[in-house]
Amino acid sequence: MKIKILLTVIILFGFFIRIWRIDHIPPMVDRSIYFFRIVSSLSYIGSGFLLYIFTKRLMHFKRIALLSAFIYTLLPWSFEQSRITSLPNIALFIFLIFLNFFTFNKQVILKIISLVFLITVYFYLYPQVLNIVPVFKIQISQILHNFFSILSPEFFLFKNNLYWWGGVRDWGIINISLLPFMVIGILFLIERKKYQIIIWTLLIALCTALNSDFPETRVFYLSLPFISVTIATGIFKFIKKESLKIRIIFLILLAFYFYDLAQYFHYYLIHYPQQISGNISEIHEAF
Amino acid sequence: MNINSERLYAKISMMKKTGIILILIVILGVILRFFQLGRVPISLEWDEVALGYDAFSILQTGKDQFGKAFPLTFRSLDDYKPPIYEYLTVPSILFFGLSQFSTRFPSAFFGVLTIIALYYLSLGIFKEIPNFRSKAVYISLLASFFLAISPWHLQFSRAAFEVNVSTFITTLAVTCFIYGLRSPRLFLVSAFLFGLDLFSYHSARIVGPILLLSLFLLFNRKLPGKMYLLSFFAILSVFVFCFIPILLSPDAQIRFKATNIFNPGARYLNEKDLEKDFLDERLFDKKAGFELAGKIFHNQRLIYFDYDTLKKAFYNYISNFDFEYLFVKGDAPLHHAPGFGLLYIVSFPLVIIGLLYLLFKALNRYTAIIPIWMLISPIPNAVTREAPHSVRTELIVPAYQIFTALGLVVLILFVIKESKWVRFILILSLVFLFLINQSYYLHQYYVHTNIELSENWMYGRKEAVFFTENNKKNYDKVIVSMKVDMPYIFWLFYSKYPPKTYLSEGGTVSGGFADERNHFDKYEFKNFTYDKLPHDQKLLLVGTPDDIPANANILKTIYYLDGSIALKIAENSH
Repeated sequence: MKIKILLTVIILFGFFIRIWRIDHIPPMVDRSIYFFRIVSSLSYIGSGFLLYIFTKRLMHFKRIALLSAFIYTLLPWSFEQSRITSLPNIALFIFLIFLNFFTFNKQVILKIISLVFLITVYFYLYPQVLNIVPVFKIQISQILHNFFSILSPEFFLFKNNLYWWGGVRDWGIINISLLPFMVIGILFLIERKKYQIIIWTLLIALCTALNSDFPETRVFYLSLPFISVTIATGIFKFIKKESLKIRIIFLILLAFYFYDLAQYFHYYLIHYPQQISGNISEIHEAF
Repeated sequence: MNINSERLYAKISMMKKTGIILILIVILGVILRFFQLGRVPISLEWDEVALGYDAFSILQTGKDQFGKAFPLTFRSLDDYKPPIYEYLTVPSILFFGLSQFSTRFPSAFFGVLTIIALYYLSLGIFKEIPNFRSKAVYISLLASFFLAISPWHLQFSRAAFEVNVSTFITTLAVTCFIYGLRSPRLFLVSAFLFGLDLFSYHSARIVGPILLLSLFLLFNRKLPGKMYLLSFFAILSVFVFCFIPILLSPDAQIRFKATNIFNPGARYLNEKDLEKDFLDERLFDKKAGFELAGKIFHNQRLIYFDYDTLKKAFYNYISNFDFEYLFVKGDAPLHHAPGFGLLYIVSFPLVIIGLLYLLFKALNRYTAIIPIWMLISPIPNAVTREAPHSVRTELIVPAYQIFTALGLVVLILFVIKESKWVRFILILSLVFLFLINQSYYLHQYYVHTNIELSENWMYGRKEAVFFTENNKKNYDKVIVSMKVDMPYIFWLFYSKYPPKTYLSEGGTVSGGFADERNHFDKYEFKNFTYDKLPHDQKLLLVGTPDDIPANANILKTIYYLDGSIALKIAENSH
């Protein structure tokens, strides 16, 4: 019961910070966009709950599931995309529906049906994700370059340039302070043989690398749930340790994380609107 | 024969086989490092000639080019180089004379010794893992083999890079430390080597102490007795006392000031001016009505610890693990073969397997050294510009070779359980891919380096020096343009100008890029405008195509190996 209350609080908090001044930050060209931004923020609610369910069933730990939802709520990229008209954000909600069906249904036929459902919905809703260049039409060096630039520390921590004109490109997709937890999370997932998380992330990275719109493609946004689970797993491993030294290190990292968040929100609320207002003419879609 | 004799015989036999294989690996390392040493890369670049001439000067006069006797820091090109490489070059020049070969010899020689040191380091580490005791020899031989053929290590073994000697000293220091836990005399040797490391290269001044501290923490319960510990610190303190004046000297700090990320230098005009950025952002916050937020988030008092600088430092650090940098394209052209990375791309999965296996299955105090070493090595590059940087982080190379070797052994152990055909296909594929990768590297290095990178390696200066030396008697002066890039040191080196005479004339005034005060004999090193040269003197001129117009009296044109013009030699109209 307590976990469910906490989850609801997290999601509601996440929704609130997403809709606060959503009509001003970032600036809107047209009032009609307001509706689509609200839809994007609402899809976050669905994604948050679905992510919790998925993580709980996969990891069998409610705390990891709760932490995943929390991390997902505050990830820079998630926050930024939930405040604009974002097809990837809505596509992520659909993807999480599919994921819950696909992962936990043992019947192959149901898995296939869920996959067909996903492809069909994406065909109409988010066709960009299906713009994959055949492997034989692109040089291996280019594929490797794209793939490893997606998985590079630069992209993860410093420069998310997949949405050049409209995104927060001076920030990575996760906060630097979460990196130790992500590394520990990856090692723990390997140890526990929860390879699905890593495989899904790599698969989505590969699809992004092969996308014809690369680097102007946000397909990699679909990996945010897996990244959230990985980080949450790392945090969970940390807080489970009873050693005083570990707890002190954790508190220091936590303090750094809050400082990191404060820096990000300061940048987003004050400097990003100014930077983006000069780019609005370059964005040729609802923003 | 009884069982003990049989075991002894088997052990001796194994040792003989291991010895033979190690010798073969070392021979391979020697061939790869000494074959055409001094000719590939085709010429010395300015740091190398500076190292060579300073060593030559020490040999003949006991003083460097500035007239300082047996310095502990060589001012060199105003970059204040640590001294070990110069002093190691002295015997090389004594035996071989001042040449490209003798200047690069210490790097190649100690590169070969590093192969042997790495073998013993790996052996010392993996013998301490119960499951791997019998395989420790194989891992060690493979690690030394991979180092022998490592593109990264070869690149710096075949040119005069101080960091390559530093890599040897660091590897040997750690090896002696580990073996010294059982043989205390080696523990003291380790103290000597860690102390020496402070004078080998700038990066080692950070990596060495942190690595030593890590070793003490890891093995705090296995250290030799108090007497040996005291002796260890006594030996180390001698080096530290000699090092402190260097650390505190404003001259020696110049290198750090010129390269650190906290102070944008004049050369790097596209760098962020942190102070200006801070001010701009604070003013904006104030205008937007968030003055307090501006004071908190853009506080100039915290400029060295500000978020942007921390991000930059962290980015610099982590960029040294970038896949493309390591396995595809490397960094600056001088630091790798054209079109090739620093490590073989085939070794990528092996490094990952080795790393994961070590972390999950084989982690103890001994093996923990390797990932710790890997994490410490890029720290100096975190606070300096131009990241990633393969020279400043070369100390990481032994760790990569150990991971590669471990990964390969783990893979073979896995494959060995499979059927004969699976084994055969997997191993054949691995060998085939590896041979292709290696052949490509050798081709790129030996065929393309000279052609594509002759400009980067400052080709043409030697040829220009020979020409001016042969013809200067016909002229009043020889003027060499500063656009030739640090020309004075090239002329000193290739003309083998006697250091005694040079110092009696005043020696080097300054090693700065733009300094026009250096001169010797008939040579002056300064910029000139051809049309404004005096006509009352016969002048021999050396410059780039920008310095010497097409209608000048051109006596010789020197070309880079790709066909573009390197230098022109002309005379003035008189």
